[in-house]
Amino acid sequence: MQKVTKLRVRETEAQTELMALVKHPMDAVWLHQEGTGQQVSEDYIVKMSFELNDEVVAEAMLGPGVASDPLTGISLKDAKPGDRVKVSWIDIRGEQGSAETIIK
Amino acid sequence: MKRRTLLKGALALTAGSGLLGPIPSLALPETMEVFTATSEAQVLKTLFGEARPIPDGAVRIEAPIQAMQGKPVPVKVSCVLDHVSMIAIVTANNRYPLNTYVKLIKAGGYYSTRIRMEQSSMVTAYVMANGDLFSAAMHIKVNRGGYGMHYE
Repeated sequence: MQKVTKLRVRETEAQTELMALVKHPMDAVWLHQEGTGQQVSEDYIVKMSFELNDEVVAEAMLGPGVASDPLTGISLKDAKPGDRVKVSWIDIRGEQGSAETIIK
Repeated sequence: MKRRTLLKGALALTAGSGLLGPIPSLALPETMEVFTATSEAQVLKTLFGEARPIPDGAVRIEAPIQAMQGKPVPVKVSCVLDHVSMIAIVTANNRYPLNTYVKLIKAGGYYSTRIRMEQSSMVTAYVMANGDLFSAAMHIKVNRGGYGMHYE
């Protein structure tokens, strides 16, 4: 499955919210019923970093306790139009993904 | 005969290259310990050390009061505190209670995510701000089956 990353900026009166959506199964062995004989391998995102103008502003640590296709949101302090924001993630298999956008 | 040997060869090759076998995982050692902790107290001790959580109105947790089993539960944590350094979301009745946590380096005190819940449970948000630990909790009911008829 293609692990697509999307990044969106949502402006409200109170804050600038940065939302990252990754298409990812977030799978772990213990989530599946034992004895079904299903071949399951661990596959979940362990870390997601948010950057504002190449500077890390937040690091989210994820695990199988987060539902599949994680939608993660943080709020930015003093973000201005024209600023570059980026999200990058790494999963337990070492696969990586990132997306970036510019604040309008 | 030729076709048979070819097939066998192809099968052996796929198995040998590890495509069918388990894939070795490379977890970050620092997060592995806390994500496999089996009690809420253990999670708190690993993440925040000796700090005692204080229930505080400054922390707000937003989530539905009930959810369908196997469906993601959206959780939003926001707070009006300054200098927030970490936010953690913990589901007490999950096998591994810690859902996720975020280290805020230069971001506001806000975190939103979608968590997995195995059964009805208290969901607690822990917020580290200025070296103090604050918390807010709510109970989320997980319904087995549809239409909210079968409550646990």
